[in-house]
Amino acid sequence: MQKENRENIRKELQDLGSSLPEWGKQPGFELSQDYFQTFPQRMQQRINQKPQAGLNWLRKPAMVRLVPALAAILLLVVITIHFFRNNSQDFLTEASEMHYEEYFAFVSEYDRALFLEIVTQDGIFTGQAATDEQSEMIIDYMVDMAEYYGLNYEDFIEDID
Amino acid sequence: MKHLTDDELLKLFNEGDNPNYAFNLIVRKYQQPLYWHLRRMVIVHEDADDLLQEVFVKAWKALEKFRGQSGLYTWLYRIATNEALSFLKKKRTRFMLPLVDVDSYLIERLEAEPWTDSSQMEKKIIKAILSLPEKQRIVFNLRYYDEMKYEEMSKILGTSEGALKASYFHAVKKIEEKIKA
Repeated sequence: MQKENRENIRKELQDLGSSLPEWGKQPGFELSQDYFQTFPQRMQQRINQKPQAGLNWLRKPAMVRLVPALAAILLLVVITIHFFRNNSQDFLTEASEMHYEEYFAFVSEYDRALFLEIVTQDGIFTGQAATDEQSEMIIDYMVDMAEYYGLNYEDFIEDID
Repeated sequence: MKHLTDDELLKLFNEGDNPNYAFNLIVRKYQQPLYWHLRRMVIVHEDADDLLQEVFVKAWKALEKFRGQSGLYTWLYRIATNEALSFLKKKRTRFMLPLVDVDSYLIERLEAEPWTDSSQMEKKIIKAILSLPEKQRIVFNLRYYDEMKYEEMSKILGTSEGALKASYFHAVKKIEEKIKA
């Protein structure tokens, strides 16, 4: 190993106007006195050690370990999709089993776009026209909402349109 | 025991009857500079010890194919530097922390070390070094502590000598400022 001349390094520091000490080069960290006496022996033991059979899979190339990882990710994606599908099916099932009034309240709370569609086109959710009773209920609801927002009923209708 | 040159050690390893013996001599020759190089990078003894073992295990596995183009000393330092950098990178990933937090962690560990009164200045310098960007930190350590030539450093870090000099000068200035602050 060819080291730089210590004088060159000292001069370089001097030129930089540095006051870094020469004695700062001593290792200040604590270390057991026999560390460097025992290390070569520990190293010999380590390189003569046979790889443990049980841990061989850890040493396999990255591509081989990638396969189970990808399988796990795929499984996670399938479960997630399944979960969301079920949830949206639950939403539809729940909605279809509701009474018109409940359904209306439910939609007005959770699906603003569908609510507006129901309001502007009667009975869109069943494919049938809403009855007078249902239309009346929608109007009542809208009057309530208009009051809630402090609007005139007509203004509220215009706002929705 | 006569101190063998790198070429003699490599010859003994490749052509001798007992490569284990030759390797043991290489370990004895380089364990100290490499250990301190690693320790200054990772601060904690246990980590430096693990890394030093990894460096020599890698060297043992690759030494047979080593043709000596870059010199044993440069080659070992390059392995050690890469090991230390990957270790710090892994630590960052494991902790899910940005770089600055790993540096804070290193400073915490540095503070936890048992420093004697006489080594307070050394501690101050190392703390200032830890505030430098990683590459600048390595350049400073290799030049100031390991007294390495820019030419050798260039082979280890794959950077031009001019850039290394500039990096070292910046590092010295910043460390001075930190120490005086």
